[in-house]
Amino acid sequence: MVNTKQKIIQAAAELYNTHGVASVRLQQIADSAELSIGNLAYHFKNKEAITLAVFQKLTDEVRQILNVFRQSSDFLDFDQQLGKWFSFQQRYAFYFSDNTPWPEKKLQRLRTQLFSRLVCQIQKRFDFHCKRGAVQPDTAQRDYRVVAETIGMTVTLWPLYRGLQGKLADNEKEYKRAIWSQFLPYFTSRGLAEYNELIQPLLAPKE
Amino acid sequence: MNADFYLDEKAYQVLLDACNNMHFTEIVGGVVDFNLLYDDYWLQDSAVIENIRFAKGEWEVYLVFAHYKNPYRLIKRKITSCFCKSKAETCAHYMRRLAAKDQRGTLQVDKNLFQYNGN
Repeated sequence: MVNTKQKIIQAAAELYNTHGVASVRLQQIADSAELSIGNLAYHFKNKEAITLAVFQKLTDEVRQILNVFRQSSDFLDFDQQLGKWFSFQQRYAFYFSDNTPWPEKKLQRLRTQLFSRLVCQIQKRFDFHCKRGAVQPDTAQRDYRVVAETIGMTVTLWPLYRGLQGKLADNEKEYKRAIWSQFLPYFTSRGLAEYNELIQPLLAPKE
Repeated sequence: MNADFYLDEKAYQVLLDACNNMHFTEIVGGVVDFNLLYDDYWLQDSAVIENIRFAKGEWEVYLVFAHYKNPYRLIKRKITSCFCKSKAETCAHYMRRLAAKDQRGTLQVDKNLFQYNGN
């Protein structure tokens, strides 16, 4: 059963995602959670406390996504993680893109660390596939750390980018295609064959 | 878990490397891995004698396993080493008794004893 606190956090997260953290008022949160403003104040003393609880919850979710690494030795491992990232972005895109100062510096620092872990994981995925011959070896001209940073940017800021284009970011296949296309130039023939067999069918648009 | 605890990036990279390496080192075994069962099957019918040797200031205990029909088929393995000769002899005696086949055949194993109903 969802308790009142969780209900408030959920309602606030949805509103933050739609309108941005700075634009949401307490009254909106109370209306969305179907509570009186007095009841809201009973559970959270102010908006900052709600925002803190929301960011804490989201930080835990991001941690859970990053906790799964290398469950299988093929490309499906990363594709599954991308599915989780997409689902997260649909609900809480503001976690990475909102520039409103966070209520607690520690959490903000944690977000930075989690982003660097994401980049680190992508880089290590390159290393792993390179070792098993699916990706070309790392050279001075081909620095996988830089590529990983760019892919990390796409993973986290995709909805923001789509918003700038005036488009919706609600198509999972499009999201995954944008990310996988950054891997494509680095595949060996073996990697490309595996990609065509495992990933390409999952990304093909419905006919 | 303590919320303040976190790994720095370098340590995290080492951890991910270890995860990656597991896929190259921990692979599923094949049928050939069971070859030792066939190769060492003859050891079931072997005589065992102990052998004590003084080397580098220690009394080393060896066991010699020889096939009961073909004594030239044998292996010799070092079991342990002791500082005192009498201790080495005692050790060798018990090691031999442990390793030797039950020659009188008084030990019995009833396979039905392994069948039990957990419910």
